[in-house]
Amino acid sequence: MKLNLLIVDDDKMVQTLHSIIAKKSGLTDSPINFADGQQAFDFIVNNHGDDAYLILLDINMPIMNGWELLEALQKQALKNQIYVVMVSSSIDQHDLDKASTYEQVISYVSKPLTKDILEGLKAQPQVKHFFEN
Amino acid sequence: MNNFTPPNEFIAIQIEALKENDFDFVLDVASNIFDTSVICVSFLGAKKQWHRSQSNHPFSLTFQLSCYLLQHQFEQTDDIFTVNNPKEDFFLTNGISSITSKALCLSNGAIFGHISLLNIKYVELTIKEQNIFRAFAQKTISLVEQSQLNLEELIFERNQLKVLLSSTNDYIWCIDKNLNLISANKTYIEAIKKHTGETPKKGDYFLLKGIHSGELIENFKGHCERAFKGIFFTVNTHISGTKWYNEQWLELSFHPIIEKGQVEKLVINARNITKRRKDKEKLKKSKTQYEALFLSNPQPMWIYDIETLAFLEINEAAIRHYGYSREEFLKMTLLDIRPKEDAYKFLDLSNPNEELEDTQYEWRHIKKDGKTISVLITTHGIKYQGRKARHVLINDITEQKLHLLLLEAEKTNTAALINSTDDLVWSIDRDQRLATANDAYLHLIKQIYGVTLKPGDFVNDFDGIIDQTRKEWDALHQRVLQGDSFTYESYTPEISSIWGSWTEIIFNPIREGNEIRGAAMFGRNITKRKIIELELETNQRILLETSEIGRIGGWQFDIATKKVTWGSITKEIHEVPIDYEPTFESSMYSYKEGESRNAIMSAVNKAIHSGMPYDLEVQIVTAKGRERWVRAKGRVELAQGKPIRLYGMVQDINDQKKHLGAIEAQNKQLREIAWMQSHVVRAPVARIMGIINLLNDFDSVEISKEELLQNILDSAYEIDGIIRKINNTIQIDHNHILI
Repeated sequence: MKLNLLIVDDDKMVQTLHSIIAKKSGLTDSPINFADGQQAFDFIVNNHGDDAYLILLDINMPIMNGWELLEALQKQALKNQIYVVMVSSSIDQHDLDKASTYEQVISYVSKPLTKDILEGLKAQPQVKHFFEN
Repeated sequence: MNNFTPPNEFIAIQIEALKENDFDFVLDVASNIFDTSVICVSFLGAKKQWHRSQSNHPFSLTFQLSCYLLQHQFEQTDDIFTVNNPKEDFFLTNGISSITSKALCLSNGAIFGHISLLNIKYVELTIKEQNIFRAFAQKTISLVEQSQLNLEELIFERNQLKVLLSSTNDYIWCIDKNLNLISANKTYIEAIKKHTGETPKKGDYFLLKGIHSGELIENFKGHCERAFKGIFFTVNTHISGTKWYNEQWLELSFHPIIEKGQVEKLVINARNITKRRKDKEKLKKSKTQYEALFLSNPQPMWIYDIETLAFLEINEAAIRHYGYSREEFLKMTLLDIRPKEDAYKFLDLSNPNEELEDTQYEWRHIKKDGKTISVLITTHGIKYQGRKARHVLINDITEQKLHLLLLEAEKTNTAALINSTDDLVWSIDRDQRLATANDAYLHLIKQIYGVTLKPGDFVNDFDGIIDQTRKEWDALHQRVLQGDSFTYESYTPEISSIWGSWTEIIFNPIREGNEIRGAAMFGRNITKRKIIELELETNQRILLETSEIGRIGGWQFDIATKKVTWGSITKEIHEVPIDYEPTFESSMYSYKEGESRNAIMSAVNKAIHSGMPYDLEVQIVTAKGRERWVRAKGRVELAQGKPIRLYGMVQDINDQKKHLGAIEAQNKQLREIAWMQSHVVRAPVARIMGIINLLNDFDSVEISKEELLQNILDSAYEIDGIIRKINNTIQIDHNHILI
């Protein structure tokens, strides 16, 4: 099973930064960028198959924010193939609490995202097996 | 008289030997078949006669009847004879209008009696009835013939009698048909000898002219003539006194002696019954007195035999009171009418020798219905019918005793009752002396003053009582003794450790008729109640003050009368005058139309119908047209499950609401600022931090260093713009708060 890395953030600079770090950390060679939740959702729904998706998800975005994407994914059959890392500039405890209520969210990271954080992610029990080969 | 053959002496004896009920069958059947008032079997020369009468015909009637039947020659053995309206006096007196009779005769033809129907409704019997009548006659004859007797024994008895004849004081003599003397007993001979100086001899004419009065001689002749017809009879004759003998009463018996079927001799027995007669008269006289005093006395009485303890006489009142009949009483002894344990005691106490002493005892007796009664017995010894006896007067004191017992029990119960309480109970007389007191009162006085009060002691005047207390109590006592009933609350902090600081005393005068005899007091420790009352009072005051501060007003709605009452603060909140009288409708309309009014009406409706209390924040429109926020609370009071009253409070929360609104607006701004800081401010900061991280370890081909530095500058400008925006927002809200 292939693990695709999706970067969902409306900030172009952030997308670039996250892509570079993701490659540097060895998480993926080809991250896919989306400027809002809706684009990411459409991509997942249209390309679904056996693939798994690791999403670095921002909260505040136009059109469909991070929470709305999570909600939308709940109704999909492939929700078990999705792993989400919330990446937000928010340091609000309320957001952290809310994120922990979603089964797909495996981590909550306050921006800025660093190489060390993403390397640590590879050892997360939920996704560890994707990186063992 | 020619065919008349009287029965011999033994037939007479046979008849006498018949038992009482031998003729019952004959009499029963006959009286059922023949419509008559009397049916009788009369015997000649025999003492026994039978008759069955529907009215009160005397028994002696049958004797008379026998004589009459003989005189009128009802001797024909086969025929049934009827006489209508007999003229003889005794028939007239007894109301006998007809006699239908048949002679009873032995096989030798001797007539020994008659069977008769008197006052028969139909004088002529039918042939069938005549046959029935004859059958009864035959049955009677066979009864007589069949009666078994030991004649020898009887003859022996008669010989014995002959010996006895001479030892009696009776004059007994035997005469023939010519009234000449045949034989006489010693008493007779000696009496005649005394009067005539000569011993009477056989063949002497027994009636002595010059000695017997003319009247007596005629009497004797008549009796003898009658007796020679075969009739045995006894007459009592009064003899006027002569120089020979005193005035006296004689009982004369005439015994016809039948030999060879004829009455050949008469035995005459004369007995002086003067004393008996006099005694009888005396007895009769005293008996009337005795009857009045004893028998009809309304007080139960009896006479009993001292030796046998048997009842000898019982009066009507005793019979009524005890329920035993006279016959039942006479079969019992005094032991039978008392409980067993009393019977032994009675035996111990009763002394046959104490004859005339008057005694009085209390005993228990048992009535026929089994009920035991208590009686007071007054008794004195008398002689009664020759017996040593006691006359007993009975006083039933059962109810009296019961009453006493109840009184005693009541007294005990009352004492128990007043001593079972810690409350003080006491009473005084007119002079303020103690009459009665319960233990609690006496104990308290002892504890306070060290004095043990006794009935008769002044309750207001003893060592240790202070002047002020004395004056206080004196005034209270005077007031109650003047007839005033009142309750007084006494405050005595000095005895708080012993009793309590507060005592409620109820004073009641004791009246006897119109006069006041004293007073009864009832004291109760109300310290606890008082403390609670004071606490309540304080609490209420605090509540009132609080409600004034908190602007909380009360109100109530009486469901039955529809009356609405508002408290003064409620009126203030509604900005109505203090004398404003609200109605249910005006109360409802005081709430702001729309959400508030709907909410309150629905809540009130629910409260009344389901008892659910409510607590709402709603708006009212005051009488001055101002809108105001209030907290409205309501609750229903139920009586036997039905709502009777709706009550509650209304609190002015307008200022609170206003302040709350302002605070909420501020909070909203603060939340917005926090959000901005979190999301808007941190976004460019985080971006800068991310770029710098990348620059520290830069080997990227995707982006140039210049591009990154430009981005840092852009982010810094972005931050500056955001901070300016926040500053503007706070400034505006601050102004808003100031307004």
